[in-house]
Amino acid sequence: MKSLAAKNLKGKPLRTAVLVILSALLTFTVFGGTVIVESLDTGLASLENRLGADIMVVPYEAATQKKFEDMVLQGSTGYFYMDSSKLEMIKNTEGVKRVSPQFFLASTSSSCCSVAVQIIGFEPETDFTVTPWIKKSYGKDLEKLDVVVGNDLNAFVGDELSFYGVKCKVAAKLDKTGTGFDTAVFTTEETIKELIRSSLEKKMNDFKDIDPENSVSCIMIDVADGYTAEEVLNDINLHVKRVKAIQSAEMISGVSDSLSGVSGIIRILMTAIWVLGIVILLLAFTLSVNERRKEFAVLRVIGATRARLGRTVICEALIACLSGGAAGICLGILIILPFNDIIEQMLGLPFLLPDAVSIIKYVIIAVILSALSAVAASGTVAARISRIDTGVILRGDN
Amino acid sequence: MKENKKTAEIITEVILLLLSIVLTAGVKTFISPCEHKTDSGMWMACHWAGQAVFGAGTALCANSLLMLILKGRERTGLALANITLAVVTAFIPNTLINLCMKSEMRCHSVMKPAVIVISILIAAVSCVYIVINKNKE
Repeated sequence: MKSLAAKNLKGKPLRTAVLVILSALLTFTVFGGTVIVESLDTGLASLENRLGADIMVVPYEAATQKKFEDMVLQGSTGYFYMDSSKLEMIKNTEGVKRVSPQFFLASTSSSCCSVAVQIIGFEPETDFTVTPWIKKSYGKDLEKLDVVVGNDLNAFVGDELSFYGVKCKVAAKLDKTGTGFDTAVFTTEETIKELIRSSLEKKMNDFKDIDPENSVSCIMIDVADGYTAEEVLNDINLHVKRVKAIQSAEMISGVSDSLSGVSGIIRILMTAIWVLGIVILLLAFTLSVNERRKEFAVLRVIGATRARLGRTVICEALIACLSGGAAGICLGILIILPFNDIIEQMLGLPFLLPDAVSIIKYVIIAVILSALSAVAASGTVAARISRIDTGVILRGDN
Repeated sequence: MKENKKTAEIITEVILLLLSIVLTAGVKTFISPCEHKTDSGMWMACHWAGQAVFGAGTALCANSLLMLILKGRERTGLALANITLAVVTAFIPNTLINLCMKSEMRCHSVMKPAVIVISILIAAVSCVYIVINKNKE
């Protein structure tokens, strides 16, 4: 039966090619769409984990110009500072459990083959947002002039990176997060202050009237039990001048809204293409079987049972759809996995590919869906062909 | 040994030539590396990776064109050379020659994956070609 179905497909190469291409497109849509939607969800979850603080306080102008959000979400470079006295004021605010300052600096692209990267400095004694991630990749404390690089940077453990003429050693490389932090460099407060000093000596940065030694860029806050983030946030925004407190959940909710919009559109398109594809497959099988009614009648005359005719039709559909499905999955793997960086840039949202096990799961689901659509589209046609009146068809009275 | 070509052979030869042309012309156009020089006026590292891919692509084009023109068994040898060359080409961006610093840059997000995918396709089609040719014998 398999051989008969295969021969039938081989005998009509154009029809077979159309069926294979159609099912390849269907499988590609389902597989590709699912991987993209899951990558967006994984990216959002990673962003939630990565921010780590309940509230982030930045200078007012950094928040209004969306500088901070762009740094977190897009990985754009920038720096802004506020007086470190704000840290003490915030520390004394009611409902604040712990605070940790961060220092931002953007490197220059002066050395060959390098580009501007965001350098984020943290205070190892108080930090509770970056250190847990660094601990996963690097068990020890960072020494002076040690840096930890984000996953999207083309630098590896042991490499030497030069920032403002200061040579730093790459101590670890972080896991991918799908956020702007993937292109950042993390280091301790001591090292970043050294870099700031060097940039000032070389006149590569202009801090105007700000004293970098007594400045911080961002203050991460963990809210104490019994207080809500909104209460603490409002308190800071009211009482600490020229700063803007941002709730992490609020920043994420903006991303989450855009993300659910994009995911929703992809899901609707996937469903629409799938339904349309099944209808086209059904039409293709109906037309193909109709024009072969005499061929099936002859098969009945030479002894093929009704069930066997039905099985042949379904087998043909399965071979065509599964071949197409395999091609569609290969296409999906060759397009979506290697080009995930460009997809991330086009979407402008946190995007983190699912792990290998999940991708294998989506491949299996896509193959099963491809087989099911083949059976669904050919099943009704197979049922009809198994009921043909051989005599009428061979007499040509149909 | 002169012999007539089968349709499947001609199709795979044409596909190989097209893929080689897409790789060679593409690395200078739509899948080119980052264009700008650094502040010091030096080309960025990815430029040289692009040049190397262009060179390897030219050799792949020549091989594929010869496969289309010739009719003897030497075409199998050319297909084998294509496989080796395609595998080496796939390793040029960032393995043999370093690319730029950030993975969001054009050389990482466009050139590298495109070169890898096209090279894999060239190697895969060359394998298919060898199988078709072997079955013929």
